Amino acid sequence: MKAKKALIFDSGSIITLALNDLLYILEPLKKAFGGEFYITESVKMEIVDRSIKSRKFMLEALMIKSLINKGILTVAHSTNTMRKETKRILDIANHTFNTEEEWIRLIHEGETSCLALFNMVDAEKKAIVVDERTLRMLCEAPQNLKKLLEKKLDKKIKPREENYNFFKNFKVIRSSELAFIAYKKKIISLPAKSQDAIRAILYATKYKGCAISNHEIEIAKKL
Amino acid sequence: MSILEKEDERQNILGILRNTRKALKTNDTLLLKEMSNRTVHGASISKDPASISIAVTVYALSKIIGRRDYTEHKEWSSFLSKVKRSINKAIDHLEKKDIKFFHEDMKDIRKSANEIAGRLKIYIKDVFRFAQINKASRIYEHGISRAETVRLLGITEWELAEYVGKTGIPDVSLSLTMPIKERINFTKRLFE
Repeated sequence: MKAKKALIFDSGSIITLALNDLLYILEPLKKAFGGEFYITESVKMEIVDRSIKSRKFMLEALMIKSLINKGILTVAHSTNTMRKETKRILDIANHTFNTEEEWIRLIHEGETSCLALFNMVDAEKKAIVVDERTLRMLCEAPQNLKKLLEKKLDKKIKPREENYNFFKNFKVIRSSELAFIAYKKKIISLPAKSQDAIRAILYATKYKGCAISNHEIEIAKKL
Repeated sequence: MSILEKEDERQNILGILRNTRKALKTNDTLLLKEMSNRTVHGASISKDPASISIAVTVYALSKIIGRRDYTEHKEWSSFLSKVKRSINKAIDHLEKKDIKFFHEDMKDIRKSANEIAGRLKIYIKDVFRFAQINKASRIYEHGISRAETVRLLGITEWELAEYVGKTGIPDVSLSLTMPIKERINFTKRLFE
């Protein structure tokens, strides 16, 4: 799969935008980006196909479907190679932390398919848009994830540290950074001073599931 | 292998169910919550359906028992009797290591809501759904990914996203993996 640039969206990041009525930023953002916005089949299944059957989230699911129909979000179809790559990464991720009795199954096929696609897309610039915390920690600070698991599970965790290097090549951003860029590019316009507008946008992403801290938001508003 | 096949886990769950029975007799919601939390650690690691089902059921019961207005419904005593009967049967079957029937008894607790009429049925079903989302959030808090948690609990990512957004999970210092300035600069470079 070739693209000049690529962003690969996990389900959570699209959910955050949809729940904040910010899906509209994707079309102008894509133009500004000058590359492809991908979702995997597994992600589409979660946020469109399954959600269309739910009365509560049917509208959001249909709005995402509309973005797919317009070609703003491109569904990367699952090939044999991609399925194999997903399985390989899933196997590595879920054999990284051991409680001395068993391996902890940390991540799921949906998120893993985004990592697989990241590996398979041939692009100069690329990143995965992930709002949930575990996958981001696995990629950027697996030692923190080990500490968190030990603290929360109250068990000694034995990591397979050689797996840490495997995940550090994945580049992660969140819907909050995309919304920040959208504001700076005047795609989002709000009747407030810049700092207040950024706070409003970032807290909105946080309250709809994006793993961004209050402290990060207070720093970001000044940038 | 089910965790119930491990003797220490079986004894742990038996302890939880016996305390649940006791708490239902005395309307002790705190004891019920404590019992529910005890199962979350196990559920996070083993992903065993028994641990998850107990965590959800006991948490839901703690919420249901805590609502005095529910007791005014005429179906209340019938619902509570059915729940107590199913818990007794679950304890009995687990003591006899009859795992298959134990799982049926746990399902029956939830089904008790289907067998009652009126608004209480809707309330109780909502409480069970809320309990699923709450336990999913606790498992996510333990370091398991959102999609994996959603799969385990049978809820949607939308529901979990809305719920975890109200928690302090991202504010835990270990969650900070890169300075935000660096991540924003990286994002800006992607757009250049």
